[in-house]
Amino acid sequence: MYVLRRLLALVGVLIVSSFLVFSAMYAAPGSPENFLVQGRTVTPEVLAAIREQYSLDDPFFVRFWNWLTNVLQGDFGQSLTNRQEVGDLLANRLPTTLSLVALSALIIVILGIGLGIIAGVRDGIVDKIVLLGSTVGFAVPTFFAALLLMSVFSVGLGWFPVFGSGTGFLDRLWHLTLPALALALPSAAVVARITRTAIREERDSEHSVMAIARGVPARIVLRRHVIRNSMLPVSTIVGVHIAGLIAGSFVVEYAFTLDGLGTLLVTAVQRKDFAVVQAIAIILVAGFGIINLLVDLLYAAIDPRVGTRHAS
Amino acid sequence: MKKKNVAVGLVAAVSLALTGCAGGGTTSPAPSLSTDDLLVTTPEATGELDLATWNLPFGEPASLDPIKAFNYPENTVVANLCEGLMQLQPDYSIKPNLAESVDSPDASTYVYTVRQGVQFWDGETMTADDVLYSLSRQLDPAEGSYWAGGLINNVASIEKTGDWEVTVKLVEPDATFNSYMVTPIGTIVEQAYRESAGETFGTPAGGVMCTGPYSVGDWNEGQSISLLRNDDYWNTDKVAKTKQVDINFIVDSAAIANALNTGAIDGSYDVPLGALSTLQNSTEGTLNLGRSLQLVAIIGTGNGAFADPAVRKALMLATDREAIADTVFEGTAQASRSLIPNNGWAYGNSEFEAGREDLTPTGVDIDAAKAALEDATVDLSQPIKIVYPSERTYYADIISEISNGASAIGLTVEPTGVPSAQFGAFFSDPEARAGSDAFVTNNYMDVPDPLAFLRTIVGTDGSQNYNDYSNPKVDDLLSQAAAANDEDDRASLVNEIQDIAMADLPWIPIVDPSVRLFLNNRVTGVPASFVYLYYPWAADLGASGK
Repeated sequence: MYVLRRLLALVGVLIVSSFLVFSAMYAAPGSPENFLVQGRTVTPEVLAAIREQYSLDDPFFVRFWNWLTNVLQGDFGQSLTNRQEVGDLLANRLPTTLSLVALSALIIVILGIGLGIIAGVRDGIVDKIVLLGSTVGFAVPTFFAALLLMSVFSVGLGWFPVFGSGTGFLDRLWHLTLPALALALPSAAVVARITRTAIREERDSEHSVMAIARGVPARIVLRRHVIRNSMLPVSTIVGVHIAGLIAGSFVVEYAFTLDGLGTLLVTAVQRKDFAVVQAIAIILVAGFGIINLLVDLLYAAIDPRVGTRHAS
Repeated sequence: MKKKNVAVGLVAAVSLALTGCAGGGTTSPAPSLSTDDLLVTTPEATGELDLATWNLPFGEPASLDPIKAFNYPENTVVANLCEGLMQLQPDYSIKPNLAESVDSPDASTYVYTVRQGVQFWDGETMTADDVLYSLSRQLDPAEGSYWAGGLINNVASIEKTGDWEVTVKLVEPDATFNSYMVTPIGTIVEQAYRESAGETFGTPAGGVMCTGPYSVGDWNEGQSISLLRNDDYWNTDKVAKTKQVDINFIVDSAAIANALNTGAIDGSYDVPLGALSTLQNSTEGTLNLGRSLQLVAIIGTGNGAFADPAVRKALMLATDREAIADTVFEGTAQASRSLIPNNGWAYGNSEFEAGREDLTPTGVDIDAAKAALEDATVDLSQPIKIVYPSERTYYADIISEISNGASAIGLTVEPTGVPSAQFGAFFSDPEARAGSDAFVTNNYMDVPDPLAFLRTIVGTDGSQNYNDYSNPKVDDLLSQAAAANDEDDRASLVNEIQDIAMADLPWIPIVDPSVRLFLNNRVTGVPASFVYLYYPWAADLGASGK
């Protein structure tokens, strides 16, 4: 019931956000047919023919209504730029972005939480190194990390390819490792920080101190009381960061020339390619909503009290 | 010129000996590029290759339909797929191609004898009907050709006048018409295929059907497109040397530099300025500089102080264009002496070279600039707004150099960046231009004919005449030149037009960028001159034997 309600709310959010995006695109300067002809001087007749073909002269609400009713029937429309079905266009791009985001998420979880736990549990030099590393990781912008990784591991050492997203599972993994690392770096740094703080707080909390005092083995205290409890704030932050990856993937997609959604979105916005922008906006919003929903469900799994609170 | 490695091929040597040196630069000792150094082609390939990789630095083509191909990405690909009635050669000469011959009894009539025995990729034979259909697509507004207007408006009729003959008649005589048959205006597609493909023609789903040395293989959207060798190519002397060419769409200049410098990609035309420093020192390959038809210029909109020819003249004289060529373009461009890119002609060589010598040299002359400014009749205190697409930062560098020159003579120049979607409108929408005084252009001649190029800029109805320039004398000279059958006569008439254009300066020419071609050591053969938009360059690409 709770999940259903959340999903319905998500649909509402999707409609509102797509309307906002549509309005913003409509209001932005420039016109798609001018971009189509790429700054070439063409006759007014040709421009008129293009406007006619794409119904660019219809009033604003008519265009939005037509778009919305078509989407509800499963038709996302045609790209203005290359006259392709948006569905086909996205079907080619989605796997790259999804694999990139999945790989980054994995890196954030393993690297971020793993290092955070180590730094939280161990004091001294290990903690200092992780702290320093996370500061650097957070401070380095994604595009710079991409350039750095590329020039060291692709150009310098030749271990990884310099562009492209590969075909087949292993090839794709090989192609996407550096981009995913560059994309995950700042988030992993934040997650490591938060994990470390949460672990330290839990270690000093009354129930942990009490458990240790009662003679419960340190390992069990760590696993059952410290790590599990500290995962509540950590899962929120991981969820938010993973959801943000989809939108943030543009920078690495551009730097590594990956055929993902991010690059498609940016070119589509530049060209005022309505149908494509709308479809990607929907995917981004839906992705964000679904990941947040999953995080909330994960909450309930970590802490049973959370679930009962929502059900009431 | 220690920065560039110039590999001079045999053809290059021969052809450059013919063109000689037209470099001015008498007022400045700056090491500006002389035309002698510019290549026409690269050394011929010695062997075949199974696979070569290429890059399109301006991104993915939007369509493969020839009539929608009017820019670098589309034309660079389509040139290998679809062929014209005529073909532009690396030395800028024009040869019959899908036409066996052309006969022009006068400058208003062009009779094309269609070549027999030419097959489309699907094995169908090309007929005069395909030719008639393809040429007529330009006239049909529903087809939406980007090439419509200008030259096409002057077409009176296109008719099939024999089993293997198609005749084009023009309203006004135009000696440049035939040279446009090398462009998509003269490109032939299969009628039956075009009609059945409908709206998908030219897209990754629908593709195209042409006669060229390559056909379309996999189109991996957002990433690359494969060209596959046409083993049954009609011109058996020119069958492609490489079995498959994968063309990538990498646009980031750092990524391009890395891909070329590691050998992940074999070659690219138009390598971005940001990649030059890496590529000039590459051990993996060579940066070749080729003869070009390109021009970077500032176009007046007819507004503000820039509307006064005296102001434009003063700005040109005060701007250190040689510095722009040397720094912004890192020595890969020449300061422009004329609105006609240097060596941008296929006839009248001695006439054009002599005409060029009469023009003002390219060096800075502040005194002359100040003198020119005295003739100005406008309010000189108003800032001059020059618009550029903000994604292309090198324009900002160019405009800031112009601004330096302007302040030396008491003028103010303001660079204004706009997003490229908005910038595109400057070329077709007068309303978009309304608020600004000038905008930048990276222009190129469609065909190596100065008449065809100048006509678009200074003709009253010129397609690139953005400031309503109109001079009855120029219009008269343009029609005379278009009707002139003798090429030297035409060249000397064009020189007269050039003199007026360089005095009135509807555009301020800044630099002539050379072709920037990077080739890995293992490949060679492609032309280095600016013909890759219409000439099947990939068919010449092969192994260097190194």
